[in-house]
Amino acid sequence: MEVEIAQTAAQDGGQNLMELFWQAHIVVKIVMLGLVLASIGCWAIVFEKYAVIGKAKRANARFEQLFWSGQSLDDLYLTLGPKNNQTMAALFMAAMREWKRSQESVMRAGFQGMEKRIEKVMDVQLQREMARLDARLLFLATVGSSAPFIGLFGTVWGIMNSFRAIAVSKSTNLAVVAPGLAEALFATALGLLAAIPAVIFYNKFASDTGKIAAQLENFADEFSAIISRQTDERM
Amino acid sequence: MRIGLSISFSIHAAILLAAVVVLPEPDKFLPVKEESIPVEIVEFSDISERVVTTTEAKTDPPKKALPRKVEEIGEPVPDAELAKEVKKAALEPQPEPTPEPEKKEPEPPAPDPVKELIEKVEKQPEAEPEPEPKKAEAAAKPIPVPRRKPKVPKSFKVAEKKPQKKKPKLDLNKLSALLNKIDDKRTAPRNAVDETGTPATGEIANLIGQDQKLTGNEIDWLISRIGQCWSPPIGMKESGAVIPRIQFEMDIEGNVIGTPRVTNGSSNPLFDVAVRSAINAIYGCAPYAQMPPEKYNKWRNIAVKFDPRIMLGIN
Repeated sequence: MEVEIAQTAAQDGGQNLMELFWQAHIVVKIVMLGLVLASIGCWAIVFEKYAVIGKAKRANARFEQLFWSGQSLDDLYLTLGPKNNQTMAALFMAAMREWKRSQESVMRAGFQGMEKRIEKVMDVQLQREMARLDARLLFLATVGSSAPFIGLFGTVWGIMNSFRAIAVSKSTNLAVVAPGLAEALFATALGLLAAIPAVIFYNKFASDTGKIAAQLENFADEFSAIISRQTDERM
Repeated sequence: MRIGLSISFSIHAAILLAAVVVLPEPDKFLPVKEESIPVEIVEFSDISERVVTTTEAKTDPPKKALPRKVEEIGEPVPDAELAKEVKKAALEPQPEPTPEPEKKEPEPPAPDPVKELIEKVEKQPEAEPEPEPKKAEAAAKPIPVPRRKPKVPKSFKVAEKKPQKKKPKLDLNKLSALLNKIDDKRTAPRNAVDETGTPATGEIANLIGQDQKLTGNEIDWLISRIGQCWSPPIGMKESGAVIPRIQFEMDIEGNVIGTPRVTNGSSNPLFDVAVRSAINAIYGCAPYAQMPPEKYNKWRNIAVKFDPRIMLGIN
């Protein structure tokens, strides 16, 4: 009898991860697949954001160096013109474009309207840049908060199964309960596996984009101050 | 995004692969068989079990050993028992099957020593003294060698030599007693019927008087049969205190009638579980068709103790 039990245990109990997966109930399988996909998506976003935010930081640093190097704004505008500008440079280009366009109307309406328009244009460009940086970060947040619950759902389902197995076989042998529990716990493990990096990287990227946003706003304010000073000098 | 996705996907695939390949399978822990089991067997059901095995086993070894023994020892000599049987046989035609089993009774001890002796004789001269005296005593018809059942009945010489042979028998019994204590019991009651058990219908009449000795055998069979269907709850083996005793009734064909009853009790929470598993086991193996109908009164209403050590030990 002992030997039989051992044999059934050997047949039922999952030995490695693949067996654990294939033996699972269909619901638990779906949960596991979903969690794996979520994990893949999370890491894809993490890699992408890491590249994008790093690039934005470097671009900002480079532009600030150029901007405060004493170069005239027109020269800067000409050198940056053809490039695909990002973040701070994009703000600067939007403001300069508006400045150039407003040169004629300034004669008639004065500088008041132009300063307002330049601020507005920079504001809009800032929103666009931040939207680009923040894109898909919310997915990380969602996975980070919901993946544990999804995994928990799989676990509860698996445990339900193992209890049903007990009822059907009328035996409380560990061999009857163990497979269900193993697959159930595997679901929770996958949920945590997806959620933990998602939460960590969401926090990191959220603070990074927050810093960049603050940088951009500061630059916008500074630049509008400069423009305001220049227009006052011209009057 | 695509780059990130592909990187992420490949890393996941790699990790999964590594997990499947590298992660070792968990060690399978087979339940350790209790060493106490053999002890239990000897104490509890040794008699009946051995009888069963010996009757089966006896037939095999003797065939192999026969020629040599016969040659060396001389012609096989019927025992006192054999002689009696022969007499019976002469009187009644039916008992013919019985003599065979009887012969088998003394044999079980005999085969081992005889073989050993033979081997010794072949290998070493030292062992010879033992067999030699027997030969001397028995002259041409010495020791146990009852295996040639057919010959014995043919040669009815037995009756005269009974006294002489009794001595060698005693020796054999002592020898066998060293090997198996069971033999004492066998020689004492000397009921041919005991070992044959149910087989021949013609013997039923003989069996009736000897019910009690048979029941030990049958009950052992019943318990081991139930034990095969029984999976004791976890933890029951460890805490030996919880042993449900369950009484149930059977009809003459071995089907369980009515509901089994628990005749003891315990406050241990394991007890209910154990009772349920025990009742499942009783129903699970239900038709106990091998129980001899002629002794129906003995086993109609029976109580079984579900002690894991004994039940599983018998398996």
